[in-house]
Amino acid sequence: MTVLLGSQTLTVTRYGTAGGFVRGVFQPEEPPSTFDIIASVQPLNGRELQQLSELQRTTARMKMYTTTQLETARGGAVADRVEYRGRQLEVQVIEDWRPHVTGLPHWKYLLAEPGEDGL
Amino acid sequence: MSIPWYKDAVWEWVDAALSGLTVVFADQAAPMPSRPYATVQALTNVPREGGSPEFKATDEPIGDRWEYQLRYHRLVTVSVSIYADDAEDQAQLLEDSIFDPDTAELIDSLGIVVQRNIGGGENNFLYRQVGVDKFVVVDFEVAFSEVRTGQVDSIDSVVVTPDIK
Repeated sequence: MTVLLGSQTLTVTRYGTAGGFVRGVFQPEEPPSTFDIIASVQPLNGRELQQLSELQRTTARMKMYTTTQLETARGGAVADRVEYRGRQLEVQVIEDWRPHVTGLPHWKYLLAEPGEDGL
Repeated sequence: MSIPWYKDAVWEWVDAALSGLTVVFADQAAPMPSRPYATVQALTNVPREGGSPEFKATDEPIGDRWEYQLRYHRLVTVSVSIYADDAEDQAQLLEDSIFDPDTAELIDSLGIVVQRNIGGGENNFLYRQVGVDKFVVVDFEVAFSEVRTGQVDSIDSVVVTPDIK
């Protein structure tokens, strides 16, 4: 079993793609599902912050390490959201480190708090 | 799921003004529509004070009570992101729409006022790219009013102060 430094149990919400928009608001055909993961959430360091465009630096962002594969919004999917300290953070960027780290296969994710119009 | 009426009004204006685009609210837990589409986002969920509140009361008490009305003026910045091959033309269409008599009539009927968010330039389009996704962002200032009514024993007891810090 892989042990991640500072890991904790977090709840992930996964959303379906079936449904349609009514007056700009998505009406899903099925409710979202949830599951738990073991993950380590950490603040971004200075270099990681500088890689963001200026417009993105004011958004709450964290990085997360886990052995569970999560969804982003690529390819028509809906990004998973991770509950962390009472806030729902969206999974935005995936780095797959499984082939590169012997003995500690994991994914690194960039999480961001959705904008105010998350409705 | 319910959304504030002024956001629904903004959606209706943008949907009417843009041609052939699906218009949705940004940052929902939802799949994005296929291009071309536009997202609408109020940049804050708490609108700003747009001026001093107005107080109006009945001339005479009704029974032993006075009826009053407080009108609060609100301002919110709305950002529209347009994902389309002709995104710049669509953004221009949206900006021009607020001067179009038919659209102006629609905006008026929706109970909002829309102004360009511009600092003196020809337009305030922002050209952005995330990955390979290019889009144009255009911001507007939207003003509206919220009215509260009530009854009091004495008009002097009504203290009119802004309710947003």
